[in-house]
Amino acid sequence: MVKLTSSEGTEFDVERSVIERSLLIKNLLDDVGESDTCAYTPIPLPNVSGPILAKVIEYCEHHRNDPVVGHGDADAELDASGARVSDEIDEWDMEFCKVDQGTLFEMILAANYLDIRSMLDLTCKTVANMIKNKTPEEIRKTFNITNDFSPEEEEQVQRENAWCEDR
Amino acid sequence: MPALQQNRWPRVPTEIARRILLALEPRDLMRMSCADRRLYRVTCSDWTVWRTFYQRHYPVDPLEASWLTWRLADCMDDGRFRSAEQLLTLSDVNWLVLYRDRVLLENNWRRGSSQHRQIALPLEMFDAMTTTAPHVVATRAWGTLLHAHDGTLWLAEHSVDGYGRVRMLHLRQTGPQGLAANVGASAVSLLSAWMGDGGMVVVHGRLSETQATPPLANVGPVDGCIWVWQVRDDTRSTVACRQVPITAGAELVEVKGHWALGRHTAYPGTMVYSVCDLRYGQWQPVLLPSERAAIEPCQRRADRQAGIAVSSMHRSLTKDEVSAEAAHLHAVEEDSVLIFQCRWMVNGFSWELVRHWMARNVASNKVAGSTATYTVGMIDGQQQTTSTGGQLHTATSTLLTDDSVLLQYAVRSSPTMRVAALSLKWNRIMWEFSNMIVRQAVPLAVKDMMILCDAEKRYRICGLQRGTPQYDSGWPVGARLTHVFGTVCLVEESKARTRTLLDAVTGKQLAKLPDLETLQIAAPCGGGGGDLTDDSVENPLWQSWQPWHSVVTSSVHLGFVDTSSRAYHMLCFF
Repeated sequence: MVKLTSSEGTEFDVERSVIERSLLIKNLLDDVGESDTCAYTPIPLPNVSGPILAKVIEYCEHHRNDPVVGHGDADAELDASGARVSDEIDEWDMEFCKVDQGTLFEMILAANYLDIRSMLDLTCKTVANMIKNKTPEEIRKTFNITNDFSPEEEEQVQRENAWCEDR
Repeated sequence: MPALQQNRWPRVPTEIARRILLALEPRDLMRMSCADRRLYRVTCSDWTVWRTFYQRHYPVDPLEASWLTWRLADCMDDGRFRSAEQLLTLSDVNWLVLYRDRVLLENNWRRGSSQHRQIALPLEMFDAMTTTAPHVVATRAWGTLLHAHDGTLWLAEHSVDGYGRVRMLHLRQTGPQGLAANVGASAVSLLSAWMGDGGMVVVHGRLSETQATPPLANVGPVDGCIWVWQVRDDTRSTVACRQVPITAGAELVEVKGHWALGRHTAYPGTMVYSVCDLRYGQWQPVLLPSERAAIEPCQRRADRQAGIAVSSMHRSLTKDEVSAEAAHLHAVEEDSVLIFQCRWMVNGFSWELVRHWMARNVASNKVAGSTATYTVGMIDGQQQTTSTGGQLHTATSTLLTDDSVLLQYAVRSSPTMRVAALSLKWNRIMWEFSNMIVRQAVPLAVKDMMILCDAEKRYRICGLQRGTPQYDSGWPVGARLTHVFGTVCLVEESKARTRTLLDAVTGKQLAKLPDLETLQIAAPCGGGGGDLTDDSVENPLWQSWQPWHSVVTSSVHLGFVDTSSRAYHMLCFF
């Protein structure tokens, strides 16, 4: 077992094989070696809050048997012709990402910090799906963005981008 | 979800924002950029994202490279051409603009929306006594090669902003020993000509008889030579010329990048293929495996550094070597070239992929030696789908994908031509047509499709990798496929004198192009060509111009020479 401490000091006990989906923690544990030290010495994660760490552990538990995707597989999501493989997200992952936006963005940052490539992909894809096929106004509404363009600027940006709408 | 939530985007680090953007389509990015100033900056200034989109949607193939190298050379400070592979590593290039221009280019093709431009041609390119106009030999996005009535070669360069200039390509060799050459001796009888994407012009020909008088030492041999010009070698204005010797009777089969494939008859019935790095001008015979090696499929490595380095294409086959019936340049790189070659043998059909590396001596700027390796495949008699067997008497091979080759062949025992797709990966014939003489084979790599045309019919074949062709003869009968760019096919119907743009994937008609003969052609202005005099414009002999059969097409334009206005006219889609 491995002990993790969140930014508020909450401690989580988690199986080593589960949390090793995080390359950051895996490398840390590999460096420490096979000693039992890590079981008693909590690993501090000052950038991850308790609720987010709980979500991370939930994700790692569910995907504990999946093959680990490393940085060397950056092109793994591309098929032979360079096109992206399906954007589909499986049912469990979709349910997992049904959280408020604040939590979702925190999950992205945590996955990035802990170096969990598959969770980072999933959460980024979820945000991307919130943007897809939306008008600028709908995007503003979704993310509570204030339009800071002047009407002239906005018109110019729309003119600049017209080429993409004609595709 | 709370009713009022915070805008989280300002806290998203750049690398994560990039990951999110890459999961979107360009249209979504453009819409995001309209949301606020910050997102405008995030989406429009991350050129790495747009470079990835470019690679994803427009993987580099010869046609894509033709446009990309030209478009990028024009926006670089030095104006030099760079290879598409080099370009894709550049991150300080505005890939958003390139992506946008590529989209607009294809949109224009799909709509048949073009602009008429013209480049004035010098007076000396036209024969005042006859109707002879310069002949368009080859064209690319960046330029057009013209062969005038007196045998001189001219290059019309096109730039992105519509500016054009014409200059004669002199046959003199540049460099210290070429300075005193006979500048006037620039007339050539053409055998073949090629234009590369990197600004290279390659002409195989003989000196015209009228010009073949001494001194010719710096111009080239009378019985055959290859002249290579490199446009924009150092700066925008440079045209460097090199001579590459080639033996009389030899044929220049193909030029790709700076590599050339030549074919020479060694003795009746057999051919020897040779490969040349045109930058150094020395031919190397393409490695031939021994008969034993060809029959036993295997991987062999042969270091022929000593034995293969000969400077002439002349070479006799050794006792156990088996000559190739067909060959093509399969892939080219900076210092190596991959050649596909094949032959029919007693027990079946054998092929090789031969890779040649050229080692250069930096001091002498010559090829110091060559190393070759080959992969051998053998399809035995039972696997061959041809029932008649027999000796191969004619064959051509064309690159289909990295892993497959299109073969067209006939055997002595049967008069019919066959077309087959050979998988190099699986060493088997994927599919075959009999009784078809292929005029054109155009792979559409992005869509995993190819278009095959014979004299009358066109076939769209889907699923190349799976080897499950689907046929569609729904295109107009009698039409000739003249060009494919992206998802657009240009077909001509000579009888009806129409040019139609079709969707390459669905075969649906997109647009009809205007009849070029009815274009309002004004007198040429500007452009840097020769000056026109008033009387020459009115020469009635030049009014009988028939453009229909002399229109050439590149990825960005249709072009033709008009004798009355004495200009190279372009319908530009960029």
